[in-house]
Amino acid sequence: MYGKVRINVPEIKVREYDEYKGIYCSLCKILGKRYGVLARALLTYDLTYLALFLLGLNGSCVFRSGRCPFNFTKKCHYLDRKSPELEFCADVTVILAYHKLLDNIHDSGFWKRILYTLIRPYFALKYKKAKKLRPDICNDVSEYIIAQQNLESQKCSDLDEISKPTAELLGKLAAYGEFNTEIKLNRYRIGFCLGRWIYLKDAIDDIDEDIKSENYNPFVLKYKISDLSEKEKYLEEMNAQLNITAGAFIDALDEVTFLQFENIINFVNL
Amino acid sequence: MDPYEILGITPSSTDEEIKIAYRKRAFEVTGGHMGEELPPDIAAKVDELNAAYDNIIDSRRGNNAYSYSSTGSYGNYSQFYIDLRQKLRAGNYDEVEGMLQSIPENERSGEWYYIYAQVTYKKGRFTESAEYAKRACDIDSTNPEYSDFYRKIQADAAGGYRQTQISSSDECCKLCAFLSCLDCCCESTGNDCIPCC
Repeated sequence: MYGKVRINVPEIKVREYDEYKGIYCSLCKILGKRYGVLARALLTYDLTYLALFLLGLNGSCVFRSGRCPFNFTKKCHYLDRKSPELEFCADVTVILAYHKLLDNIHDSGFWKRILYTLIRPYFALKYKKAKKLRPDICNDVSEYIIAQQNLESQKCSDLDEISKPTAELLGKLAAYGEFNTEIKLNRYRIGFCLGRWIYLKDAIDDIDEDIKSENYNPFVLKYKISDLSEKEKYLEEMNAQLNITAGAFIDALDEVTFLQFENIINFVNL
Repeated sequence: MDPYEILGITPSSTDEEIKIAYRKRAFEVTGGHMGEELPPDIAAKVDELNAAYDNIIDSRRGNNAYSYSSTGSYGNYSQFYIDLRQKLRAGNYDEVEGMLQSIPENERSGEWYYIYAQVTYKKGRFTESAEYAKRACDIDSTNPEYSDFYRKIQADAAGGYRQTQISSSDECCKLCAFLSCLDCCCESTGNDCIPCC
């Protein structure tokens, strides 16, 4: 499964870990129900965390046991209530995954490009369904993609600017469905900080590859890193940028009240 | 209708209890609806809930208005910066930034850099915020407010927030603190709860 936002499992209770697994099994199930069995493969840790966050705000989550449809020896837990939060996360998963697919078609080498182009029509249909259900989210995602592409083509090396589209998108997703103005702002800030962290973490992890393939990387541009040995010089400063964002995220969590899963939500592996 | 009654709480409830009550009632009314719009009858109930919640929270905040202490505010800040701080607390970040930008560069004091660092931090421009926080400390190294903020950013940069995660989840800390207190109380009466302590 992909995604940067992992839970610090050793720090949470065993019951809480079961609850977390229950959430991603439930998200997997709803992806399959809404978008077909292949859509289950689109499940990511990042969207699981969003589901955890939204379910934690609303509470009333109980789980019942079941079995994994792909591994009958594996026991799963599934959420035992109707869940608009999971439906939302499933829709967002498909929307983001389709855009990522388009990105991959554009950026990949010859053979991968053929593979992605072959599966594109199938996922285009799923995207169409998601777009009908969530036109506003589709707009937000399209705007984010355009903003991101513009900044990258301008070779932006300002970390605040380049991480802003991802931060703003995740802010909107975290605040979605909130009807109280003040709580909405607080939820937006949590999503904003997390989105910024995800973008910068991705960028740091990709430095080696981006230097080799001469792809855009904000850290490579900002610190003028020409080879891997130079990267070590700036690693501490780059991680400092990431950590300041993580600190702001942890502070922002304090401003919002969760009815369930607070401990799991708190223990993100940042 | 009484706002406390709408949320199902009493005036003696803590802030945390109020927030929990709001979340529970909101979920009961909306069913977790994930959309920017609600059917009109549910929207009316949500508006009522919001009015009750905002009313209670604002009135409690109003009581605390004078307890804001600007620890370490030295010197005589002009009315301009006092106004800026109030606007910052009220959340008018764009206005604060605009007002700060109107000050020419050669007239920018430590206070200017500190408030700019605060507003950029609130707006999520953390890289810029760290630079301005440092500038504020460079200009006025004796101001504890400036150095506290810069130290917090540096602590976060070094990974200090991980400690906050652990202490937020302080069930074990609470238990140890309780047992340690219990042991001390027992020992003061001549008994001993935990012999090896």
